[in-house]
Amino acid sequence: MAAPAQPQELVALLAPVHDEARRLARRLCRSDHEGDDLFQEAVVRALEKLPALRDRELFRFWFFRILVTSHYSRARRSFWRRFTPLEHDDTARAVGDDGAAWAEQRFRAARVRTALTRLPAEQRAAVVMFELHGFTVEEIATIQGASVPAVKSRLSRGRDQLRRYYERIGVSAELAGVPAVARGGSES
Amino acid sequence: MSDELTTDLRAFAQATDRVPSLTRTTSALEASLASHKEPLMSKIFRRPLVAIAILLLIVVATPVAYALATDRFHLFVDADQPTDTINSSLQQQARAQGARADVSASKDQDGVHVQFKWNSLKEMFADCLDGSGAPRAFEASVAKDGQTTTTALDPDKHRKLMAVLVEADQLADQLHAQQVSEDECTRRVLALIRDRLTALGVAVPAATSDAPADQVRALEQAVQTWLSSGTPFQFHVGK
Repeated sequence: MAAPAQPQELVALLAPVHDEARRLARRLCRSDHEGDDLFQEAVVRALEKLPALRDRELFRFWFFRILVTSHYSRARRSFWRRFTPLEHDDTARAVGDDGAAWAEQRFRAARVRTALTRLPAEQRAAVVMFELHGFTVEEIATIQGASVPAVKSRLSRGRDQLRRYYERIGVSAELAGVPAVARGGSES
Repeated sequence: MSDELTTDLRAFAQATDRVPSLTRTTSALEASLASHKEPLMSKIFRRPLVAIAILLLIVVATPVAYALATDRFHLFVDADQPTDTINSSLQQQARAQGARADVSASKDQDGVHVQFKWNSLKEMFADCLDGSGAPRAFEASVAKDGQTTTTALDPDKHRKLMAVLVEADQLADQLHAQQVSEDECTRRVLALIRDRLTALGVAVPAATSDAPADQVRALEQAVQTWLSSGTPFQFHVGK
């Protein structure tokens, strides 16, 4: 039986992926606060499972998989939270002295976060990882433990739902075929 | 910009780009990890001798534990005490009886109300149902001016309400597994709850709007009236 992992070992492995993972956790959730809780939960799970990870080189995808799985669990168990409004509008951060630009960014970020939270957890994770983190479809398939066609289907259905939501609120949206916005990732 | 959704996603990416650095949060993280308790099973299987003792203990203790777990919740409220004192006492009593609910009391002209709050249906089921799915009795003894009155939640209504909520929860899980959209899932689950409650004779008032939060409020209000007439209990699910 493997010895239990030490927190310091996990922190060292986490360092190179911390910011990216934390961003993903926040983007998957209804608020930054919830995202931080999700991140913390994933870290605790990772500590439990770390002794079973033989190749430390695989840590990045392994940890993202734990994070995404934790996200699914939280989405399933918090059934009634779907009915409650966003508690904190902490989507945006101050971006300088331009008040109008800041207000617009805040508005746009909150609008798309609301739209994303309406997607089923698997679709939301696929869309966020592809559109905002630049993961390839193959990488998302590895993280989600799904086939490439399943991920493509999640992306397609997720985009359709986002588009329909935007149409319902009277905003035009044409996301399909638009390259990922964060790192220029492409769908192969 | 060619389309609003892409622009919004870019704004969202920018707005959520900054996160607390690992350096800043390492101490908190390490403290949290260090205080994290090792899972019981991995502890057991790493120490075979202890495992035998613990497993034997579980076997021997199970009938007793089961009896305790299926026992009713009985809370004592001294209504002559200030609300803070009542709350602190209720929380202690609830913890001692293994309740997951956050229990609190409030006073008004009608008397004392004991409120149970759960963060999820699963938590609520764990408190309200025993191992066989039967409702667990909820009783409260309220002492006021030297007189003590004990009241209980109507077990029949309690059982019926739980059956509706279990069905709603199962439907939600099913729809979720089918990747049905959140909006559609919410709509169908709320419709099911409303239908089932109406069939039970619960008068559900019209919601103030189509918004799910308003519909839930109407359902809660209806259940509240139906369930807690004559008892000091109040139910509320959610945050």
